[in-house]
Amino acid sequence: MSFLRPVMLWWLLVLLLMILFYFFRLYREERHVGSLLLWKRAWETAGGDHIGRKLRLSRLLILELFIALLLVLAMARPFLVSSGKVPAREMIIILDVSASMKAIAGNGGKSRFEKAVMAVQKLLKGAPSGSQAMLIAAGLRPVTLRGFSGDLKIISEILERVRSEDNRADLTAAVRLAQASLRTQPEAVIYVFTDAAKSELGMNNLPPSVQLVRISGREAPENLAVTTFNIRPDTGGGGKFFLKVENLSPPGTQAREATLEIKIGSRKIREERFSLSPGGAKPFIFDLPRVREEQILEASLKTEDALALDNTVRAVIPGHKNRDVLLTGEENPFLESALALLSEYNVVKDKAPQNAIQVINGGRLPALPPGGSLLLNVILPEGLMQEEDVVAGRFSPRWDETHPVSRFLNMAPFSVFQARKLKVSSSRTLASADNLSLICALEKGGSRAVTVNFALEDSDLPLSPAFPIFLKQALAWLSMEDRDTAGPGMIRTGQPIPLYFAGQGEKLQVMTPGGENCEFTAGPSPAYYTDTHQQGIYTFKGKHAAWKTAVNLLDRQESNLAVSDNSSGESVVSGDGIKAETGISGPPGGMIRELWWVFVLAALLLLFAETIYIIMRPAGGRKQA
Amino acid sequence: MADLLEPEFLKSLQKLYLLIRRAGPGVLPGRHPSPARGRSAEYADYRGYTPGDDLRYIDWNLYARMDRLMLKLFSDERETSLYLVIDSSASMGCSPRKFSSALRTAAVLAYISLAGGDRVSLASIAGKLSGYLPPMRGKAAIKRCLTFLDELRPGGATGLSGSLEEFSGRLHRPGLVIILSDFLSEEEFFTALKRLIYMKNRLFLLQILGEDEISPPPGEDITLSDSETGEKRDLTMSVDIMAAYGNALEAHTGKLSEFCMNTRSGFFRAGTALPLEKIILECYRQAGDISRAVS
Repeated sequence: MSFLRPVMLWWLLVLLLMILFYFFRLYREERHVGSLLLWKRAWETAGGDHIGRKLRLSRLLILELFIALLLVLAMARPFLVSSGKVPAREMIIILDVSASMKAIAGNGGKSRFEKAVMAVQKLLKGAPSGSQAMLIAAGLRPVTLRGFSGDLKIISEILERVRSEDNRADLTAAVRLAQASLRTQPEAVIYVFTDAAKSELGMNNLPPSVQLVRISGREAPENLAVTTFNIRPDTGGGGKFFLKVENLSPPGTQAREATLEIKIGSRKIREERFSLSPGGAKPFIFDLPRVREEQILEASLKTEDALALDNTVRAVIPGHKNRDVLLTGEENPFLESALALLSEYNVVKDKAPQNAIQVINGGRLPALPPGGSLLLNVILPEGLMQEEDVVAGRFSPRWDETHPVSRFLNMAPFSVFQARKLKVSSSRTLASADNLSLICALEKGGSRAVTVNFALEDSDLPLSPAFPIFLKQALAWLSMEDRDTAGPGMIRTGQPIPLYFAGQGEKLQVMTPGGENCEFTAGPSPAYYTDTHQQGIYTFKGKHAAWKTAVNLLDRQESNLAVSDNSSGESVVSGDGIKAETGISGPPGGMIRELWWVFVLAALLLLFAETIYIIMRPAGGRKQA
Repeated sequence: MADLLEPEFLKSLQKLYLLIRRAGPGVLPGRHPSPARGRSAEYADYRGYTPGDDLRYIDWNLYARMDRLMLKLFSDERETSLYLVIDSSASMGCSPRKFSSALRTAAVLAYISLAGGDRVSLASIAGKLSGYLPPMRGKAAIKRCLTFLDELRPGGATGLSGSLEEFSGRLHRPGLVIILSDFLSEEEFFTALKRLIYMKNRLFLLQILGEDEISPPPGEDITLSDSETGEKRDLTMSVDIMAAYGNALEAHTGKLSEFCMNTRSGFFRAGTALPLEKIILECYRQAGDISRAVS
């Protein structure tokens, strides 16, 4: 016989308390007697009032202890597994490969993931012959590792190769995927091996065909984690970076001490020691050092806790180096003076440096220039731009505030007196008036362009305070500084990284933190690298560009290792309630017979017997003088 | 308390008296023959005349027939004094009907004795001689006896030894001393009893115990409180404790019984459940035995 909720057995201590209270109880029935003479003699003859006699005599106490024992055992939900022949069955095994499964309880112990793999292996090993199984890895996106197969050895081998990710898991999606397979295998049972440190898959709303095998240590997992990390660089280099450390240990545990170490590359620049109580959080704000070359900023907590993964965060700090801007076409003093105000750009007119942003004022181009280009009153070839007419008038354009080029500009209105009426394909209008697209943003084949569809001298834009801001934002966008979605050089695990190609057909090599290499070739549409399931630095190397991106967990839900409900230990929960035994010591199998009702019935019978005893005993339950 | 002055009880006294009379000659009712020869009208024996004898008791008829001087002897008749000593300590009031049983028994014995022409004296002891009624004679004295008994209330320590010493000091004439008590006293009181015997008193110990003292009700864990000393003791009423208590009670009673047997005294243990008639009859029977044994 085993228990589904062995933690309830702690209530057995109540029995000890009952005995203690019995011995040291304050109230005793007082009985007046004529003389203690005979009682003293009897007491001495019987050898005093020793504990053994108390226990031997007090039938009521013994009955009450039995009743309490039975009730505690019932609360622990005892069950038996029938040892009869188990028929073959179909199983869909969902393995949680999320970051929290990497948690290790105790020093040198096995991680939750390793325990889960062991549990699945036992389940497969103990499955009756003829059984079929399907294996699904539940990461950010569920992946079917193996469809229904009767060869459980192959599934076992696949299981050996599965690695947990530094990511969150979408168990609900995994269950949905498994349920889709029930159409062909309606008798299949879905086993979800997880640490249940998620709230998304509620224990009480599981479908009946799903059994949740909780893999979590009985010890309360203590964990410190960096849950927030962000960088705000200044345009001229430097800036600030911010991070928040939380103690996600269960309440009641001791405050944890840790050291926060900040490194730029391999150079330690700061170290702070602090102490944090369970549930507490501590924010840190530091100055971002100015670096000339691209560097890796690493913040790590020096502490030993259940999950080491969330103790380190990294970011790529871009080196502060002026970009080159090649200014060609018709001369415009307003344009030149406005560009000269932008200190982070070197304006050149003659020789085109590599990777320079082109600013072209007027003219006609045979093709869209590679990289970034600001095209002022430039005609592009057909296919990219279709010119319809030249329209004169007084136009007061409205800016699209949602685009990085045109934000913050509505505060300074400007007028256009003559503009080209044209259509730019694959573009987004940034400023428009009377159905005229006056300024557009174009992104095609890894190239970017901002087209201004009027001559600067036909508008008062160069005189507007918006002009230098527009230029700065346009050049920043054209220099592709916005390529990181979660801050400069940093994203969260599972988020895609946009890939930048100089042109179609260009090859790009990606190196993962684990050292794996893969290659991509630029196609006609924008590409993204999505396999960001490992935390660390991803390196991208192309013919014309190379950059690094840091990927961090930064997921409070994954760092919080507490089981989402109150129970702990290894057990199986199903949609119909708790049914099966542990996933580790005994895989779900056979007929599970819960016995709690037997214990409750026995307790009730004993209670009845106690009542009868109290009524029937000579004292009749009443005090006697 | 014992309702001794109630008409119902007074009627029952007369009934008990008649019951005792029907039971046969005994010691308690009426005048009692004395082993000494006296001057009563009842002829007892003859003996030869010796000089100095009272000439009035010479049987002249016998002298005429036998020509010998023979002296007539007559039996002497004396009144018996009955001393009823009632233990009125707190322990007597602890069990239900224990004290009232003692008082009723004393009242009946007093009535029967007074009706039989004996002198009756009453005393109550509770650590000391707390009450004393000097010897009285005649049926009319019963009212004083009953009033005395009715006014007694249990309280105080038993103190049998000192109380009986004090009581014996009041005795001027030997008689039958009946002590009504539970005798649940830790002190050694046999010396005081012996002194009463040495003073040529006949002794009868009537041990009155409550039913809860003879067979205590079972319980679990209780605190026993001594009604006299207030001493408390926590006790688990286990089977072996109950058995040991029974043995201790038997041993205590046996000791009293043995003492009485050795000193030709009477002893009877009466529970409160025992009817009054049976107690009185037993007293009467045993007191008769004592009297015969003594004579």
